[in-house]
Amino acid sequence: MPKLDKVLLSFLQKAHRMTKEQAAELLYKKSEDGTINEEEFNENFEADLLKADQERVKTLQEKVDTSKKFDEGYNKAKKETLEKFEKKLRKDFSVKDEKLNGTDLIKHIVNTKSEQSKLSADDVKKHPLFLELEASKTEEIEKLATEYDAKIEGLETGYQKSQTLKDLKKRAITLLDAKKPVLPKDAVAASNQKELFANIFDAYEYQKDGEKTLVLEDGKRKEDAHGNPIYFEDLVDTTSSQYFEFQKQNKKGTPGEESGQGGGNAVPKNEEEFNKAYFEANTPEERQEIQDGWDAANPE
Amino acid sequence: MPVQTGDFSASQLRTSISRADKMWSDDMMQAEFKANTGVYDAVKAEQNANVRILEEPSKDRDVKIHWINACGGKVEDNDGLCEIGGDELSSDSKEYGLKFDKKFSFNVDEYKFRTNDYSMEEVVAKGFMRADKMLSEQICKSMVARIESFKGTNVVNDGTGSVNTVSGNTDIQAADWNERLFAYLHRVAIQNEFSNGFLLSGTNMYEDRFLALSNVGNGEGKGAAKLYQSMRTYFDLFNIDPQLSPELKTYLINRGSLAFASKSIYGAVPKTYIGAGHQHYSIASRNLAGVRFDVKYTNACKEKTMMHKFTVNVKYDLFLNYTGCNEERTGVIALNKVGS
Repeated sequence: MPKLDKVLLSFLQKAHRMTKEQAAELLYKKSEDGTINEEEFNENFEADLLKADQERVKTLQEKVDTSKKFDEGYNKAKKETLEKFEKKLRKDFSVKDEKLNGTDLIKHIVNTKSEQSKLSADDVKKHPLFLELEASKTEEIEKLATEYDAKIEGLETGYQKSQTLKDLKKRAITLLDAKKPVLPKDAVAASNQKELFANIFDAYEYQKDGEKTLVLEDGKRKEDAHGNPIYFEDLVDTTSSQYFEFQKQNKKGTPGEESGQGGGNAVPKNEEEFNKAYFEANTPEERQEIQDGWDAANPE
Repeated sequence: MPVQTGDFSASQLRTSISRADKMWSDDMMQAEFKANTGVYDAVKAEQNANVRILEEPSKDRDVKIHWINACGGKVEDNDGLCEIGGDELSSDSKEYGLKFDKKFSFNVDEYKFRTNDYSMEEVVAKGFMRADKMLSEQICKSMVARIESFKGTNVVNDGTGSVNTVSGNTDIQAADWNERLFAYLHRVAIQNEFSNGFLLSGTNMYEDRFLALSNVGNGEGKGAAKLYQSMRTYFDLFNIDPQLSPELKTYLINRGSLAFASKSIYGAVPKTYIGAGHQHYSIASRNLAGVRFDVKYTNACKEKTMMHKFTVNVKYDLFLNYTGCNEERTGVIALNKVGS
């Protein structure tokens, strides 16, 4: 079996590139006369070995430090590449001045080409691409304008229609009140019932015919069984009869005393009759009924 | 606000009436113009006579009243024969003139409305309502005076009350004015041959009755409440005591003994008399159901303005049924609180 010291000597010589003598000096103790005593190990072998190894590594590092060389090579390559590129630019863009390099060369080329390619506004306008774009945009704008004109007109018409319908529904309730329908005693219920009645007239369209309002259904004028046109007041009258019963009005008077006065039931035919009925009425409720009937028959 | 020029037209009158209707429907406004009419309400509720307005102006007669008379005939021996029936009961009627004729006037300055927030029609509406209130309360005061003058003799001269032959009242001590008095009152009604008596009172018994009815739910209060409710009672806290002060009275009245009548001359539709510069019409009272007031309107120039003048008047009276079973018993007994 090989001795350890011999193995170490061999290792030091091979791995650390030491000579035999260097390895021995490291491993064995030196005698007093300076000669190697192979019978005794160096007590500081470990420390000396580590130190020797550090120096070995340092030497190695100095031997392989090529950053400077690398930079030199890189710069050279870069310069060559740029010079080739500048040469190509000069050739492609017909630049004769060889003193222009790098960014100066690029600027020169850009400025030169910008001046050469400047077009007047008229030139732009004549350009086919511009003309094509202009035509396309104009058509698009006109299409949008037409579309939104139609929308606005639709909104206006719709608004007018809704306002007309609102007024007609209000008139329907007034005409209904004049007929004195039998309604629930609860005010809220009575109001709701009248509102439901008025909503019936949402189903139709309307058209002014002189002072009257013609009723249309599905785009055509609504007619009765005899082919006669139906007007709004007639529609309200017939519809109300289908949904309500009506009170019978009694002439009111003070018990035990003849008053000889009092309002009648029929809607007054003229202002004179209206005044008579109004003034002869005995209570605010009677007067209001007469006023409502007159207003319904004589809308403003 | 545009200035209304010319006469106060029918259209403006309609507007005024309409404005008055709206004001009347407002609680706060109504409180300002609502009259205290307890006396009138009681009399009308208990009136069963029929009053007819006489339209002929030549006679000094304004109304004809048809009274119900249940008297007539006599007790006979029943002879067992088949004869059935007796004297025909009649409804007596009599014509009367209305003695009371009161008026209330107001003016409206047209040019004040150039810069006023109120329209002329609104001011006229308030004028009419004010006239209505004043005249209505005057009518009630007159009715109290009449009722007092109608009081008859109480044939019951024993018990809780004592008949004062000087004043004609039945005096009742203050301490006796409570629910226990009703036993006496029922006896008085029966013995004075009241077929259907009711009470018309000022402040007498009002508070005690109020408390009794409020305590009706209590075991102890039921009896008092029942007694108070055993006879129809009407109160007028404003017109009776002030008229009769310092006396505090309650009237026991037989139903049908009294009849109120009023008469308006003008129709409801305005009539214009161009020559006289007048316009005449009548308007219904909001306070007294069945009463109409006559209105006379004119206008006149005054300095730089036009003054519109309105006079509201009413003719009326209260009558006693003269067809009582005993001519000495009028159907009205005055009960007077005495002592403290």
